[in-house]
Amino acid sequence: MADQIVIEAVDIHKAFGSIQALSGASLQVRSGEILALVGDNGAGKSTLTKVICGALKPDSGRLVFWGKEIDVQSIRRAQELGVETVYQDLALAPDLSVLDNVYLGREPIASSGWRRWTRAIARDVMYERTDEALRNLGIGLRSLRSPIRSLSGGQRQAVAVARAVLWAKTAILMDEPTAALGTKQTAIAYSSMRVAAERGLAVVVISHDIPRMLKIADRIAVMRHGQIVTNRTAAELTLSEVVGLMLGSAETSAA
Amino acid sequence: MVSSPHIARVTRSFVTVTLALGLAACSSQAATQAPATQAPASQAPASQAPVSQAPASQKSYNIAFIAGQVGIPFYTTMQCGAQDAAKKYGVNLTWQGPSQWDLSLQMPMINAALQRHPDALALAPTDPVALVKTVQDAGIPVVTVDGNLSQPVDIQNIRTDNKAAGGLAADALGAAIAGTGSVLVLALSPGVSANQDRVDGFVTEMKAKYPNVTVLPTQYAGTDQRKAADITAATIQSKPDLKGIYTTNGDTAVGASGAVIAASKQGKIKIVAYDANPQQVRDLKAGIYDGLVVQAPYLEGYDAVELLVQVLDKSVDPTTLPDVKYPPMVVATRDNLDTPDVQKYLYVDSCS
Amino acid sequence: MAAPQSVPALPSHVEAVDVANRRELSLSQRLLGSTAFWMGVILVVLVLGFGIASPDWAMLQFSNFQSMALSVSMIMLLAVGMTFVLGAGELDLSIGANVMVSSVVAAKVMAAVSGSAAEVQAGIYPNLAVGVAVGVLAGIGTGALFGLVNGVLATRLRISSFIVTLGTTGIGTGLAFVLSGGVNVPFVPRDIQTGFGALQLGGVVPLPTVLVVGISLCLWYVLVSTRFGLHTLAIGSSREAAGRAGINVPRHVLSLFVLMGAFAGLAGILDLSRFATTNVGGYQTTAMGAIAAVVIGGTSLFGGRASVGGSMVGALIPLVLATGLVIIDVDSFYQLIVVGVILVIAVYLDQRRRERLE
Repeated sequence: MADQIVIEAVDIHKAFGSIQALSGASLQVRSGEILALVGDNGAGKSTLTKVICGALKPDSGRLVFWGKEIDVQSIRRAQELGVETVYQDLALAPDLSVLDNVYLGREPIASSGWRRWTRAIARDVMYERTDEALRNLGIGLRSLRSPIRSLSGGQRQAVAVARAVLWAKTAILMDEPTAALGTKQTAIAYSSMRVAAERGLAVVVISHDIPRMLKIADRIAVMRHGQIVTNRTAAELTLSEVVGLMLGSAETSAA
Repeated sequence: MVSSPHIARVTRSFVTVTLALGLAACSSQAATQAPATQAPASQAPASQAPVSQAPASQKSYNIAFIAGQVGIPFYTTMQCGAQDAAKKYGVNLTWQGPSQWDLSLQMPMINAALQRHPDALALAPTDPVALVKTVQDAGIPVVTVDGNLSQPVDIQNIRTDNKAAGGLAADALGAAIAGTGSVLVLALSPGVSANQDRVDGFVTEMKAKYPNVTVLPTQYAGTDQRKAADITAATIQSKPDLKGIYTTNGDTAVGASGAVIAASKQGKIKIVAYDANPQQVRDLKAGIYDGLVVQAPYLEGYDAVELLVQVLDKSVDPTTLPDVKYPPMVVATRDNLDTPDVQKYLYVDSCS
Repeated sequence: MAAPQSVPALPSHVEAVDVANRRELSLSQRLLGSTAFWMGVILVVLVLGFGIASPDWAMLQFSNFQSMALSVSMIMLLAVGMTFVLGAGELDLSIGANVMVSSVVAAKVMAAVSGSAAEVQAGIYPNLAVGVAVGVLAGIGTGALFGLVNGVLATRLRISSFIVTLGTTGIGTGLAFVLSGGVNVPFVPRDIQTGFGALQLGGVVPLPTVLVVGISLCLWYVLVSTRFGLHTLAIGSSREAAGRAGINVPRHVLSLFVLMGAFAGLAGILDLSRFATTNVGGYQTTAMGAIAAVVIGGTSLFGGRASVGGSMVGALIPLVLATGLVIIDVDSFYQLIVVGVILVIAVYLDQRRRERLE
């Protein structure tokens, strides 16, 4: 588990109109590590995540990937850098199948014959890979070709997580991945995170479930008022300390 | 010292002269209002001067002529007739009309024309009801052409006798199909009385003169060529003895002929249509149509101006006139197309 | 983009839960569940029903199929284009005006290029081939340009496509009237009618139908098998998801409007070839007719679900109804009522069926 810093956000500022969502947030994300990003509502967790994954452009600040400063212009660019995201609203298209959702935007083209010439999507390849990936993650679904809208909320979340795990090469960012899940599916979600970390990916998880995060995560970063106020290993922190930091007891802005 | 009546007289003369100059300028401008086409008309109608009761009037009248629509051969031909009459009687004629048959476009033109205080007005009313008051309040003699008003407040209405036109069409179509078989009637939409008259006139005459011909129930296609074509195509399928089609307006004629051609029935199913634009005349020669009911817009224009001059001259008493006057019509066929009697009725794209 | 890595098997300390066997729908199950299929069944039922009721089986005559095939081609072309627009959750109400103005431009260009004004008026067309070719290009180009305007307004100005195309309908119609002087363009060479519009391939299938069915089948393939089609549906299903997946949504939507516009331009050419003139008094119900055809065929008005095959069938149903009613001599006033009632019933039954499935 090489512990190098794969992504670093340095002094990020972002405002929406008169609301300053991020006011100098700095964060290091290490490979093979689960980092929990916690904070009260409005602290800036989602915004910071969206900046890193390319969904938002920061007003100022730097993003450094594998030591190189990169201007992440778009989600596509972030994906090319190996960053995958599980959004709070899942960003799944309800009418499309599991297959089509997992591969959306990255559909493989048939490799030979007239189907290649007409640029047909290679759904057979998609099916194999998706099938395998879901099985390995322990996610059971009746059908991969039926539209997503026929799946339960938990199953949809599982698909969103599986999609990110499938494609990520550098990091996975998850925004409240277990919010709508039942016990069994929550277990699957957390085991997926472990699997990803063991594969060497960096995993950043936004969650309100602090006790669970203290148990699962390797590091905890606490955000308040658009800044990171602490970033320490989970072992070093207690629940009351974390809550205190979230709500505003004195603290160092530790890097 | 200049007296007030003297000033008033000078002012009045000054105003009159100015108005006259203005009107003269307007009339020469309005005479070129309708767009000229590049090609000269192939057949210009010979001057249609019917023997008039009075010689050229002593005074030069200002007559405003508001058409229903400009830029179409029907009205261009009417303009030719009006201008010929104006020339004969020394009338200052202003000709104007909207680009669409639309009251909202025509109304401002009528008002503007009346503002200039012409001696008389000739008008093709785009709305039979709304213009009744306008005509009543005009204060000058008004003759209406083409359409009519819902109340006969005008001096006279000169327009096509649509019932008679339908009858002529029936005669022509019945002869073309040798008196047997079925005929399809394609009309505009129910509730348009002028169009309905064309249908009624046709049906009555056909049943009377060619009793062996089956007149199929009237179908309505509006101005939708596709609908007319679909109805025609379906009728061709269901009525193997369909021999003729009677169309009452331009778009149904286009649609029906399209369907007949597509079904390879051109020549086997005869079509009678209305009007004689250069395009339609060409189509008649080419066998697309077998008969064209030709109205007389030239005469409508000519007679309207002539009648107004006579009323202004007081050589005709308006109260003795019938409400409606119907100019004569012909049916043009390939056989009679080149005869001078038919040639003079054909519509033109521009006056020679 | 590189392929995803295969995910290694679960580490032993992670419990495998919830694994079930995959069961995908078979072809016959998918068929029975599709609206397009059932509408096809209804279509066949209608044809047979009218066939039995018509004198001498007139409805089932081959020549009747030929003339219906010819007539449906224009609306089918529009419906197929509209399938993509609706699939992306957009709407184009302006296609009627587009067809009108494109056909006016095409007709004027054909008449102008084929010969001098005098020659053309007399029916002589020295440059016929060039004139027609340039006219066709001008018509399709006008349509595509119209679509481009729609697309730019809808994507750049962020106004809903409903409002945008409602506005451009008026602009397009007005433009058509100005260009044509309110009169159908005269002296269009009849050769486009005798040489294409009224001709049949091998004496059997009308040429316009061949063209439109060919285009429709291509677009069917695009919708079902290519990225372009899939992305269209993704945008309609969830604009958010499509954007997050890296799809350039505004550019894709723009291309759909341009495509629809080009189809409208081509539809204008088809009508020109059928009638050898324009129809500035027509096309008031064209947009609604195309949308109705698409919805009958199973495409969702809200986007995300679309079927080209369904739209092809949906275009045929109103035509079959209208034709059949004339053939069995139903009074023309009743025709309107019957067509409306049957459409409502068809869509209602389909709605019920879909609700039961979900």
